[in-house]
Amino acid sequence: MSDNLPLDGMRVVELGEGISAAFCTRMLAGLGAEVWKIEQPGRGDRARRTPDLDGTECDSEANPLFLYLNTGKKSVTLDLHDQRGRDLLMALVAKADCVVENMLPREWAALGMEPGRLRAQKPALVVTSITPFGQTGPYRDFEATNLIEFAMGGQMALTGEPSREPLVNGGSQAEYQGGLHALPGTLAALARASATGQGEHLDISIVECQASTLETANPATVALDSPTSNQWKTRRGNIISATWALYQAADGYAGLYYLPRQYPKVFDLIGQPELLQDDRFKDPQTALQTNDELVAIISGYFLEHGKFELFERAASQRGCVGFVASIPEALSSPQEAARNFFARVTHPRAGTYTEPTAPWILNDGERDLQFRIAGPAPLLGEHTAEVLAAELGLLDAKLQELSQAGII
Amino acid sequence: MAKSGLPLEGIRVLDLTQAWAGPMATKTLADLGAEVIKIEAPGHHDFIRDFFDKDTAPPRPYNASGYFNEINRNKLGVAIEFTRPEGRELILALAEHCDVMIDNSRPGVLKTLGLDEPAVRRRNPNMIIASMPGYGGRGPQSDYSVYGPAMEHTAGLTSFTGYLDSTPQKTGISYGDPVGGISAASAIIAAILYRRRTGKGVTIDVSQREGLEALIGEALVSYSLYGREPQRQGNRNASMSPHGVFPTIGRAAGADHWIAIAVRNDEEFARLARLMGDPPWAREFKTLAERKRREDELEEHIAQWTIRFERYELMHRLQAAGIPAGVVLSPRDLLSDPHFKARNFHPLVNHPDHGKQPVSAPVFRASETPMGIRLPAPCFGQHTREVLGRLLGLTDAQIEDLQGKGIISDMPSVYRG
Repeated sequence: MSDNLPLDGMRVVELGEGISAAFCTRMLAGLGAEVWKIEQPGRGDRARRTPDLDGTECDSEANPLFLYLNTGKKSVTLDLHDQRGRDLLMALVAKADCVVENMLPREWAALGMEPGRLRAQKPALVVTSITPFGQTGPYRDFEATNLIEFAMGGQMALTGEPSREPLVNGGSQAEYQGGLHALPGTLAALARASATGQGEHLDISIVECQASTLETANPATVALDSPTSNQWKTRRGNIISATWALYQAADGYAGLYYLPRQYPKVFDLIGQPELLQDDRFKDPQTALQTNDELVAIISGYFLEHGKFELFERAASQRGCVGFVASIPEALSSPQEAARNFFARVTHPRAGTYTEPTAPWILNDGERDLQFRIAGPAPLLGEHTAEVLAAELGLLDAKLQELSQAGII
Repeated sequence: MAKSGLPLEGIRVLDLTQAWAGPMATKTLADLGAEVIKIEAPGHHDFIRDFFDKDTAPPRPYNASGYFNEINRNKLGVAIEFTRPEGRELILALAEHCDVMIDNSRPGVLKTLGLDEPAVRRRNPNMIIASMPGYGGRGPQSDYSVYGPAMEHTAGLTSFTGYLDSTPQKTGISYGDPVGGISAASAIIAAILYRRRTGKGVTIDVSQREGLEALIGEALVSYSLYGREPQRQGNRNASMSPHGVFPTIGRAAGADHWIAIAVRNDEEFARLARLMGDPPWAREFKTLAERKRREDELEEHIAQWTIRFERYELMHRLQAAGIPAGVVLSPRDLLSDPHFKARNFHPLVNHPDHGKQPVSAPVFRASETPMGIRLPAPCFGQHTREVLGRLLGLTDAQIEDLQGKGIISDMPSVYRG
């Protein structure tokens, strides 16, 4: 292929429902892999049926969640509850380098299978399993959704105001974190498999992904019980301190984040440098004692200024203010336009829309290795015949027979 | 280092990152088996070292930050004053022995130091060189200074995070950092695969903000296709109800004890009603439409029930009935939770200056190449001599000389007297 990419020639089988596995393989597809997405005949991935974020029911072929997660993949329908379907799966797996899946251990057991056993016939195969709690341990078969995962990974207890209940953040961030963490693991296992011929079964637990990224509430710190450590492990809301906080601006919201070493710049930003001479605010340590007063001063200033103005002014003094962007504002970012980050994709049922590509630009000295968008998200079963014929040599008559039996 | 058989064994990384996003990238590479050489300068130590416990700090507090030691385990620590010409030359000489270089400073900083991509590539043409300024290295905002929470705001995520009818709310952690770090690690491993096949080096420009955009793709597509904008809805969900966190018995005594419950459909609600003893009010909430219409009232009823139970007991009762539910685990709760314990997620690591401390295990549970904690996080400059000797062949006398000139050191300058 002319657009030589890192994963050219690699083939991936995805057994994904919803977000986590599909996000991981979306990125593998963009890096050049061919992804065969296995879906249940007649039903398909539940992401096709998940209502939109505002609750609107969606056409299963034009659902934003499904469209986004499955760009460039091939949809192959196989009924895994039937032995013939499982045989076809095993035959496809034998032709692949990697499987990424997110079924619960007990769902595999109901099929009489285990994800790790997919490697039995092909030791070079990489199998990545992404589940809420992992393959082992007492919660491994718990029922979970993004909310439950976010609650049990430790991030929810830290999110929200201290005086109120813990809060989940927007979208499905626990699910996405599972898929994101699975990506470097899967790529590294593929690197090892291509060098040594030895694959791997990776067990990724979504709650562990979150629990490994708790910042100041890391395990060593929370194990201590002292005034310093205790302030680092609780829910602290939008105002961590006056100079690390989310404020209301004249036309929306904007966060101000200045490290202690940048403290004097805050007063330049708000046009009141004389306050640095004030004993109450002379340095960051003192300001912690008078935090509420400083919050009131900064709040007053922010309320009278626009969020974009604050963003640009902070940038010009090498400080950091981030404006809270609405979705249309995020889509119209001049920075992203210059980086060609958003791609336009046309789908036969949904029409033309904008979606993100990858958060990196790879360049080999001659050209950018563009994120590959091989096509829009597939219609349910769109590529079943194509893939089974090309990879397994199934003839039309056989395909028709399987179709009539509801296997494909 | 000893043969590990790990997936990235044999890959050597020159790590010029600090704070969280960059070290998260190299923590990922180190957990997967790469040899990561973390560079600090005596005059520019990683400021995460300053997050030590002021109440219990040992004599060398910069080596005893739980935060630093969590995200820098499995790495070697080298301290070289790279702002001075002799130090810069040592970094360039080390670059000749490495496969990957990564930094997360603002664009322009490395150029000032003479350590930018062209300078390094002259010494190692096929290197993989990654940078990760917050908004990316290309584009009009590339030199804007930015920290994790601000990235979450500008990416759009914060606009639909928040309590119902209230202000936007930031995520509890600096969410842009780990997302940017793992994205960078992914790009680096992809580049390793590419270089292996083509022999070509790769330059990588990671945008941490874009890392977050990638995690809200459905919102971007939905707006672009249908003009819908997601709203702040607290813990509620437009297509599930009840869906939220509810107080449990410890809450009555002031503890931060909550249970999360997500009822996905009417059948699960019927099971929940049965578990609650089929209270009469539940008959008015049989359908999702009914539950969404009077959700305040519904949540009130549920809370009056959950407050009677101990949180773990309630979770098990709900799960036994097939209802998605979980204790809202605090970071401290995680340390004693039976599931995390069963998976040995918090192994104790013996750190020379920090004692025995729990860290999080690598998230990659691999069947053939089990990954663990091979090394505690380095003390400041702990491996300077070893690395300069092994890779550059420096003699003890040469190393003493560098020490005498202050080019290398085992203590950050600001902690000196």
